[in-house]
Amino acid sequence: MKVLVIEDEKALADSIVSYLREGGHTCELATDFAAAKQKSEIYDYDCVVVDITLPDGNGMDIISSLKKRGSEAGIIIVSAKNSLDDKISGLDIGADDYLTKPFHLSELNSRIKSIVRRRNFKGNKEIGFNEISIVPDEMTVLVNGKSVILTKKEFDLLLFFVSNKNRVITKESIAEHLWGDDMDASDSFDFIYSHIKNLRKKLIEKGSEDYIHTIYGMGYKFGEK
Amino acid sequence: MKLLNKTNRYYIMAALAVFLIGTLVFYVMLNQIMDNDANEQLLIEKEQIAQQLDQLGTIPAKGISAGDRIDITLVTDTTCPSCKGFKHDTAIYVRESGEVLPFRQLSFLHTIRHQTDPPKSCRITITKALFEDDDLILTIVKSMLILLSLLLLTMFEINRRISKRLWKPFYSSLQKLEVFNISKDYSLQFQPSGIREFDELNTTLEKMTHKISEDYHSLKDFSENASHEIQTPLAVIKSKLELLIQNQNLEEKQMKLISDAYESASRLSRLNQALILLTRINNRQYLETKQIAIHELIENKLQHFEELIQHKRIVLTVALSQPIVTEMNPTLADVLISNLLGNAIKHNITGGWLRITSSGRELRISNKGETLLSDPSKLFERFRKDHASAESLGLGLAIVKQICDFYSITVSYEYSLQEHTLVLVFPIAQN
Repeated sequence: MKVLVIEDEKALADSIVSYLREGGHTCELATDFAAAKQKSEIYDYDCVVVDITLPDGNGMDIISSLKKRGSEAGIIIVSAKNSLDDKISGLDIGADDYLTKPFHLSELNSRIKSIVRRRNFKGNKEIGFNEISIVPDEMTVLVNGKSVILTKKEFDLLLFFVSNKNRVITKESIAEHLWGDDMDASDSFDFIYSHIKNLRKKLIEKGSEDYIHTIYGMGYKFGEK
Repeated sequence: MKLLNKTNRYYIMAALAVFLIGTLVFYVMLNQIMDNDANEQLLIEKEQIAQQLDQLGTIPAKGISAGDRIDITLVTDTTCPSCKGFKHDTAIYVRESGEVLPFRQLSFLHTIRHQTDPPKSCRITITKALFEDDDLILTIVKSMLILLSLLLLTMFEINRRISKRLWKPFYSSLQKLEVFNISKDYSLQFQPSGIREFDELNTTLEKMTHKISEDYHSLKDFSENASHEIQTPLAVIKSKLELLIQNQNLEEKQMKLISDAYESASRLSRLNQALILLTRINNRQYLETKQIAIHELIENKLQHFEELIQHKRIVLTVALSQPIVTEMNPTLADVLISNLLGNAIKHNITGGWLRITSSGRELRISNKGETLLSDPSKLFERFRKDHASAESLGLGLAIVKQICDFYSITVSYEYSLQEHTLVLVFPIAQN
């Protein structure tokens, strides 16, 4: 998967690129408007992550020009301004998603995957991880072909895990993924703990291996040992 | 109390005092004048009677008429005590009017000396009707009252007219001040009134509002910029830490250190976002509104929180008998209901209950929770935490309050033992 990251804050851009690359994506970086414009016009990407406030231009213009070219790339706006206007106008001109700084890298990764999934696999929308297969649109999960009944939040949790497989995911990013800003993350840690326990139990019961590992003090990791 | 009414009250009080003193002085003086007058008249009559008697030489059978009652009796002993001239006041019953009226009597001895007849001594008493005392006082009071009310009426009317005209610039300044909106207007401009005091006041107000505006806007810009600028370094910190924990070789001890740093960075970022939200509401940046069905929003949010409610084994009762629809910004409505429900879940106890009821425009959200330790009236203040849990930001209710104030929703807190209730009264829908 090819991703273009347009972000003027070098340190942050490096983190994003590094995280995405480790996830197996091909990732390119543009730290100013000119470079971003050039790259987005020459190459085709599966997804473009745009910071709309660039020192020498507006990220919105890049989105417009991408859309004008008929680009198929999924577009995620990243902004320090949690402004509704920006969000609406960004989505209006064709962006797929909007993230406010600071965000969790795992969240950005999961959003990129979800957008690309929606765009690319038009017929086949199944995500697989060993014996587990997930169909996001139907909200169904199969382990070795047997269906697992999950609640909405458990399903979201599993999808988030699979999107960030083999990565340490913090409790905060899980809480924010499930409830957004509606809950102080810390209030739901306890709940996350018991939910993950349930999810793990349900998967193992259907014959799945135990993929969810607790990382002491920090969060969880989904993957083979 | 209006300034005019206040001055009028002092005028009335002063006028009453003047009236009382005036009436008294008037009475004393008038009484004296009339007293002197009666005496003078009596003396004049005395001279006239003496002259007439001397001319006639005898006491006429018909008596002498001089306007007042005159009694003449012949006396032989001129040394009798009642023969000495005297003057005294007396009250006599008058048959014609059926009243006892005041009279003044003057008695004196007179020796009729006629050319032909020998001199005869007679005692003469003149009885003169006096003006009645209460009549006098009544008359004075009446005339004084008429005078007073005329005076006051004129004064009030003149005052009213003058103040209406003179105070006009003042009221116009006041009106401008009332509609002064710090987030919109830069400073106030006043018309010169031609009255020095008011012009001075207006100049001061102009300067003041300008200064306030300037301070407000620079502070607003500062806090907004600062909050936004903080977001980027925070994003860097969090992303670096997130990368760091991917390292396979970390020991548990190191993981704990990173975890603490990460949690604090997350907390700082949530805090910052909450402050930005408060600033935005304050700066009226959420102006576009929509018809929001509060009851539907509650149902949606409850679904969102469903698992958390179940997890805490909270018994949920929702009785939204009447729909509450209100004009609000969708984002703020969402934040408001999220915060209210979030709070009720967060501060609930395991196995507790949550009750949401509505009647008319009133929405009640009650929950079981720990006993309140702090002052309930300070609950809506920023950074107010009852149970000093480090995780809670203490901004939830401050945001609720700010949103409610913005839309004139009355919000209050009721509390008894372990029952906490937030009551919201939505304003009556317009149009």
